[in-house]
Amino acid sequence: MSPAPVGPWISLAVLGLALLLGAWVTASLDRLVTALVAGRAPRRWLVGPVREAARLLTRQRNVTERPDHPAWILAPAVYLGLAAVGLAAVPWSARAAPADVPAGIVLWGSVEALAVVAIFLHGWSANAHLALIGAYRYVALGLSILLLSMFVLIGAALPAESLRLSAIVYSQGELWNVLRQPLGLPLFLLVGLGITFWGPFDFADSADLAGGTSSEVSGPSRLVWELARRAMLVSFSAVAATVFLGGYLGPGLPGPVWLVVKSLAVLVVLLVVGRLTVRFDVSRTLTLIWVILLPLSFLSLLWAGLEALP
Amino acid sequence: MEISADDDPIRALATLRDALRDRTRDSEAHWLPDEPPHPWKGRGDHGQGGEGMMGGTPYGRPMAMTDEDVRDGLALDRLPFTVGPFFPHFPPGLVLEVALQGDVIQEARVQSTPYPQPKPSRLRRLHRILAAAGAHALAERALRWAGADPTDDREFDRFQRRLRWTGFGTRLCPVPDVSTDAPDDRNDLHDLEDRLPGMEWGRAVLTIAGGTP
Repeated sequence: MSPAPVGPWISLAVLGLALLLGAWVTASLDRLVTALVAGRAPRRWLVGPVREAARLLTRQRNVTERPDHPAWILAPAVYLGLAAVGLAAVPWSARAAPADVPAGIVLWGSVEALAVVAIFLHGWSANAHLALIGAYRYVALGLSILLLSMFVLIGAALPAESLRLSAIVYSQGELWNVLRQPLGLPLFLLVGLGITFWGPFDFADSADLAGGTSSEVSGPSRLVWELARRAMLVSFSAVAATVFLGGYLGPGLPGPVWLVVKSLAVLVVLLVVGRLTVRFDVSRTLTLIWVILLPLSFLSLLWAGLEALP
Repeated sequence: MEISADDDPIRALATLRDALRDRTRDSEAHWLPDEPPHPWKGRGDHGQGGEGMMGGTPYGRPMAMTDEDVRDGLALDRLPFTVGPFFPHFPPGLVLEVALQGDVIQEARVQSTPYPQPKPSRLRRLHRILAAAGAHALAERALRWAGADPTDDREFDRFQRRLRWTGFGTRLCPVPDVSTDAPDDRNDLHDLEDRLPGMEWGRAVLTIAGGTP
């Protein structure tokens, strides 16, 4: 069975709203988590992100010497667009999905791959040292976590015998993938931290590079970039909830409500991990990914394969 | 904008910031002309061939050229540039000339040492390293906790042990030893020139942020 497509205008409206609202909720929750970790009362955690957005919107745009203008302006928009594409593949309920494409998992994989390109372009096009280092570093990380993501997601597709996200949700009717493949979700969460360069994997926009790829960016471009980063967190959380936590499945409440609740849970975990960790050393992180995490993800795939045998 | 000796620099800077923000004042014009230093001079009929785009030091900045690599033998562009004197995680006044290959420091030279300032306590060093490692909330917590009793060794050790759960000081995020206050001698930073080459940028910033041990 496959959910019916939702009309294009309703899809666009809901997705746009979900990304904007989601980015705001993400920024607000992040302020709350930051205050808790710092050990103080939160300050304006609901209004703060909106004020920050307004401030960025009205701020002067910084221009470096001979930047790659088109790429510099497009990169944040592309990253935001990719977040939207990823979220579009997520089914809302058993009956409705905006874009339940036959190869939804592959679509998400391409979102991750193109995100690496967008983030690299953002750092490259500023024509500045620190931004460029951030961009190079991110490519090293991005390529490594793409492999991780691929193994983990194929594992999730095996029991469903389909690459379609709605089929993967349907296959979790008896047992969620988070329990069926215990290594899957933890590894996929690391992928999430990677594609949003969040917390321990913040190699692109890190403090030691004074902001990295966004160190030279101010004004509206910066606003779109920061918005896109949070939107990508939202999008990733929804995909993770769909692939590993049964998506819209759940008793009593309507499907979309379950989807939102589960996505929020994933989001909060990412935000807490992000604030409770330091940025890892770049070369040691790559060693960790290739020597430990990749074999683990392969093991997870093997596990999923054996489990899916009739 | 000029600041004379008897002006309050902080107020002047605040006024300047407000003026820039409210757009009552424009940013300064570019210091250097935005023109290619070596325009392409083709020799053939269709502009093909020719020379003049590579090398040299246009606008005082050397062009990136490949050089021997200190890490794995992969020859990358050597990218020389100057950081400081107000790089966020360096002590104010420290100006470093570095040559990077990828994110590995190939060569470093201290152009000027930090301005005189009180030596940082071990807690302030901890705060700075945490901030440089991107853990701003934890850095704030370190400062907040510093108010309690900064000299209590057992408390400090416990805080540091708990920080290991965040990756701080583990193999995934090696940091300089912060169990003592920073040494007073600012000239100590000169041995950075020997210690930085071969280090990745991220680790170098953590080393400098904590003051050299």
